[in-house]
Amino acid sequence: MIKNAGITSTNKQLLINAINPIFSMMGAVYGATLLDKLGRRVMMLAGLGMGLVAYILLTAFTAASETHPNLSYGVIVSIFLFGVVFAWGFTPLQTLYAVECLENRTRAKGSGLNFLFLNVAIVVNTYGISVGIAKIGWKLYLVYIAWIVVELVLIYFFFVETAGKTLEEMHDVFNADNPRKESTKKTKVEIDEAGRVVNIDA
Amino acid sequence: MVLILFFPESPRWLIAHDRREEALAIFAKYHGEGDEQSPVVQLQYHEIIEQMALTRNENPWWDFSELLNTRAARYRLYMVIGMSFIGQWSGNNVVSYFMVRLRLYLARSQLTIPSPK
Repeated sequence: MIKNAGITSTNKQLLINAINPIFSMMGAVYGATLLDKLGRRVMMLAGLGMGLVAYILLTAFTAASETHPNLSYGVIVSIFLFGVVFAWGFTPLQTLYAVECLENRTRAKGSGLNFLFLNVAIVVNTYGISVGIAKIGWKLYLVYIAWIVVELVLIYFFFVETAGKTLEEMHDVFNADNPRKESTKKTKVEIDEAGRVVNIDA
Repeated sequence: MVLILFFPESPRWLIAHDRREEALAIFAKYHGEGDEQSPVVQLQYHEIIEQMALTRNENPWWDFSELLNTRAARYRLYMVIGMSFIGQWSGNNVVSYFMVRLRLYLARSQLTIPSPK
C-alpha cells in the first residue's frame, strides 16, 4: 500500500512539473501582448509585485505545512501562481528590454554582454540555490522575499521606460541628469483642428 | 608554394593598408596595359576605395569601450546588467528547476502531498 501511494505520488510530481512550464508559457504569451499597452516599467513592477505576493504565500504555506500536511496543496498552488505572474511580467522583457536600452551601434556587443551576465546569474543560481536549500531549506524563500523587495525598489527608482520611444528619444533620455525621471515624463502636445502641432509642453 | 612569392599583391589589401599608389600600379599593369588613367583601371580603383569607406569597421570586435565611455552608455549598461540579474534572481529558478529538490526536502521532513481520497 505504501508503495502504491509512493508511485502515485511520483506520477503526480511528474504531472505538476510538466504543467508548470505550460502555465508559465501561457502567462508569457499574454504578457507579450500587453507590453506596449502597459509599458515596460508597469509590467516589471506588476509582475514582480504579484510574484512577491505569491512568494509570501509560498513561504507561509510551506512553513505551515510542516505541522498541517494538508496545506502542501497551497504550496503547489503558490508555485504555479508565481510561475504565471513572473512569466507574465518578465519573460517577454528579458531580452527585449536590454536591447531597447542599447543604442543601435552597440546593440550587438551589448546583447553579447547581456547573455554573459545572464549566464553568470544562472551559474550562481545553479550552484548557490542547491547549497542554500540543503543548508536552510524553505527558509531560503525568506531570502528571496527580501531580495524581490530590493529589486522592486531598484526598478522603481532607476529603470527607464522604453515603450513607444524612438532611438533618438532614448538618446535624450540617457543623456538626461536623471534618465528614469526623463523617461517617465509626460509630454503634452496641443493640436489645432487641422492637426497641426500648436504647443509642446514638456 | 614558393611561386606565391612572385604573385602580385592584392590591390584591395594594398588599399586597405594605405598603399594606394602600388595598388593603382598593379591595376594599370594587369587591366590597363600600363596606363594608370585608363577608364577600366580608374573605375575599379575608385569602386574599391568607395566600398572600403562604406564598410570599414571603426569599432573592432574586441573593443567594448563604447559601452562604457560615457555616462549615458554606462547607464544603458546598468540596465542590461540589472535586467540579466533581476530576470534570474527573483526566485523563479527556485520554483522551477529546484522544485524537485524542494520536494525532496519536504519529503525528508516527513511531508508528503496527501493523495485525495
